Amino acid sequence: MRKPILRKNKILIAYLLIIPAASLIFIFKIVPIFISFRYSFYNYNILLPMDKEIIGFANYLNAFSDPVFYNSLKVTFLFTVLKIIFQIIPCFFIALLLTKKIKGIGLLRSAILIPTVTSLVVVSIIWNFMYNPHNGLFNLLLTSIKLSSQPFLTSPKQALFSLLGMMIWKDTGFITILFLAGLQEIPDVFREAAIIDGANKFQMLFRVTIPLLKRTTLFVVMITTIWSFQVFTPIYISTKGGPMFSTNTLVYYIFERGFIYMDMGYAMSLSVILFFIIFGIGLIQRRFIRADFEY
Amino acid sequence: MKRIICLLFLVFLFLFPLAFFASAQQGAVSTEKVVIRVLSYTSEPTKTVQEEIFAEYDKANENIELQVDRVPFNELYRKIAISVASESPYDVIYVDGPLTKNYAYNNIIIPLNEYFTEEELSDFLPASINEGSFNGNIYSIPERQSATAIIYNKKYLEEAGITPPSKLEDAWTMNEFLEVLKQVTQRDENGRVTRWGLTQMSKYRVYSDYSFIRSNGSDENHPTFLGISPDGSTVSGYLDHPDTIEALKFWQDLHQVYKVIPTQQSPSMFENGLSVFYQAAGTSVGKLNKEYPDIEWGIMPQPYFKTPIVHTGSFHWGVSAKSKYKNQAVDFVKYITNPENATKLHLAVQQIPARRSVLDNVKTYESYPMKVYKESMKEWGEPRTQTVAFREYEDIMLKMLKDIILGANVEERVVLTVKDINAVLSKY
Amino acid sequence: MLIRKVSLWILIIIMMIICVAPFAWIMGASFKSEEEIFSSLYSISVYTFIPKVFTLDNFVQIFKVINFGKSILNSLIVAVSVTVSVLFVSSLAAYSFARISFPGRDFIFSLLIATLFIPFEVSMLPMYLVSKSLHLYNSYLAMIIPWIGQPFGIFLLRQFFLNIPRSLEDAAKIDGCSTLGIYWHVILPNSKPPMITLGLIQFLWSWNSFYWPMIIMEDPSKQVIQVALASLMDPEYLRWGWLFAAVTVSCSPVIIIFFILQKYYVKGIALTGMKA
Repeated sequence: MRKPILRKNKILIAYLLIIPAASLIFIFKIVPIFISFRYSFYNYNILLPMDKEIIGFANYLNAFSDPVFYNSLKVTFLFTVLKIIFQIIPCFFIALLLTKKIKGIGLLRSAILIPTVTSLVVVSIIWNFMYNPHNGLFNLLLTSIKLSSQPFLTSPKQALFSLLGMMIWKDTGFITILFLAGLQEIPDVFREAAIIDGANKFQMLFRVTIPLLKRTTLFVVMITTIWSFQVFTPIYISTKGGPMFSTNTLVYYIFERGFIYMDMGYAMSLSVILFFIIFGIGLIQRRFIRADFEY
Repeated sequence: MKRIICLLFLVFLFLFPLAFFASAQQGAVSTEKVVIRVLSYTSEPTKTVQEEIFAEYDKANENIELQVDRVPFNELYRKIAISVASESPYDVIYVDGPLTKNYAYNNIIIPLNEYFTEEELSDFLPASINEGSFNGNIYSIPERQSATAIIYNKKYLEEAGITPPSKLEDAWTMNEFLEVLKQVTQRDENGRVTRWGLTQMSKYRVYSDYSFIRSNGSDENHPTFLGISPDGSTVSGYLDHPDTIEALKFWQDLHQVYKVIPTQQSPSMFENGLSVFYQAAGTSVGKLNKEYPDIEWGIMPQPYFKTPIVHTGSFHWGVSAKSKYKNQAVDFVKYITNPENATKLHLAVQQIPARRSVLDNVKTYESYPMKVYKESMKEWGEPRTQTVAFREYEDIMLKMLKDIILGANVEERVVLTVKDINAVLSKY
Repeated sequence: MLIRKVSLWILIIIMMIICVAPFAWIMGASFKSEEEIFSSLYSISVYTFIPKVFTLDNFVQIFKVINFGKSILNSLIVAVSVTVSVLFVSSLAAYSFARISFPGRDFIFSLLIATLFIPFEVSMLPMYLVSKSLHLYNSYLAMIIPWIGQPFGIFLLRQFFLNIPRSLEDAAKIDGCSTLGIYWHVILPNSKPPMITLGLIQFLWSWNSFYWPMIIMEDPSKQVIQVALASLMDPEYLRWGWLFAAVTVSCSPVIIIFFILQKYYVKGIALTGMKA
């Protein structure tokens, strides 16, 4: 007899407990999505909010015939794929290094986290100066060893890679720690068994450690993907999508369309498309994680 | 224990509505005073002078309270756009001259004809009035004017044995300028430039770079000089005219082939002795006088290909269409642009005044070197492309100029640009 | 063996230099005068990093001329408020998700976490419109409230709460503790590490936030530090020395706090990687 009342009470409390957080998230994160869905069907110039009119799927049709949009997809995907490859491999090895019991290895761990905790604004500003094609630190170093100055952010061929370098540098700390945590979670039992079986260093690495890190690696890939799709601040501070649209990522293009060209409806439609892309990728990657099982 | 938790929880829940009330209170306006919200920018020395002028107004008008917000120049447009989009706009807005038509079209600012008499308006320079007008009505009141000229480092030129012209009629052509630039640019043993030929007050912008390009028109009606069709509907045949392309290629070569102009600038290069010539408007002179008094400089008129031209236009003030206190706002605008304050601003900022009376009275332009600015504006001054779509236009041009300076294929890049600009123009 | 050890150490030192050098360059330059900054750009020497003439002028100027001190205060107000609120609100929600089963629990939880996938820059304008319609505009509250609902915080704490041994709770239940009582007496006291971790991560995140304060706060005297920094990049009045000094001032406290609470930050990242 007591149970049903207590249970109802408990459920009520449960809801009460989540209301502050859930309602805030609902208001400020979920409702805006619906708003952007709605306005993606409008022709919305934010300077003339009264003049907005429904134009159906016109924005989406424009998007699918917009070469700059396709370019931005290309740029974003390219950036993401390269970031995944060039971030994961070094970070994995650094994490391995960090597991070794060398005195003072903690210093390295601290050092790689410093870029991670610094704001992206600060990092973008610093690297913008380091990449300066005439006076930057990098060119200073290059010319002092008799190599030629590089244009970096001012060259369509190098700009995206320059940004990539900066972002990899910044995120190294975070990703390495993720790998480190994953490595530390592997029970020693596996390594001991491998040693007893006579495995050498390479075999240990490739047949024991890496396979056991599958879950962590997939998680790292997922986070890196999401973050790479969101790259905006460095582009806003240094290249503004150029040169020659080589750094015009989708998020930056959306911002530009909405806030510089005042075409909010179009910008919203692009963000809806982006939302589905990320959602889709997220779902696919989640499948991989679910499919994996506990060792 | 449970009671205390519940209590805490309820208190927390109540905090939310309280918070809303509190923030509403924060924005509440005291009922005795009329609050005029003003939007301006952060650049010095303008900011300090404006603050002085505003403070005087505040003091002199007891029933008015000024709330001034400032943003960096690059953020100005977006700030205005955001505030309009969310129904709490400013009363008085700092308007970049060429954007007046855009704001007017979008009903951001109101026409001011009914508040100004013919006589009052006639004191302003015609170019300024044109810039601040749309469809025959005046929408923004000029705060100042401007023109570009080339400041040079006297010492460096003396070392090279070069005497630059001081009068408009002796101005160099671009080819003559190129020769001089090649001569004065210095490099170290690694090939890195230690002293550049020319740097500019701003780069990749229509205001600074495009005037050079336009000068390749053989006369004032040449498509290259005009840059856009007279009815403002297209740039085909203007921006992609062979003479425009030729000028753009020359401009590109200055950066990529001869390497006398840096593709990317560091701040204050000229002031720190890193360049010999410096294309700049009056404000830079103000800066030099105040902060770098050790540099000996002179001013020469801007070089050109075939037809001399410099870009003009500067900041204006507009009154917001959504303002609840339009009369007071206009009164404020009249005050800050009155001859006395215009003079004050001029003396601090060293930019050309927009009022004839002030221009004629100040001693600044009586003699060389500042004389060059006044003459350049009067003889060669042309406003930038007058179009409602100036915001988008300027941004597209910026991208194009930047890409070209960085080495893009000129013809291809121009074709893309023409397409983009025409698309934007057709929207209006 | 020795060669291996030495070469390993060289590698480690190179990596550390790569991580720290950019900061050192900027910080060193912030103590240089404007002229020296430029003159030191032409050759590599120890003076690239260390000023020949040490000057505090840049720092003095940014506090005097652009009121950088106020920016720091503003950032503190916002960051501390958000952090405290997030800790409170997230822990309540996380506890509920972790320990009470109620209808719709998993669905609601997944929905909230899914919002992490949305790039902020994309939802910015609608979020702004929502905020304004709630009269949250141009005030400290406007910079604080939208961020109190932090799904990452709920996720992190829920992870941790799930791993608190049930035996502790069972003991409390036997003693007659109510649901909320368990929260207060059992969960919270045992959650110091993740709370500090979440607090640290949230504080850093708020301190570093840039875009939202820029669009929602129009009053420059209430503006936060990252926005003040970005405005120093204004090409019309950019001075490298000031910019460098401002950068130094804005990332030094962050780095110092990080060093002190390193352990927790690392744990926090590790917890993110653990999926229940």
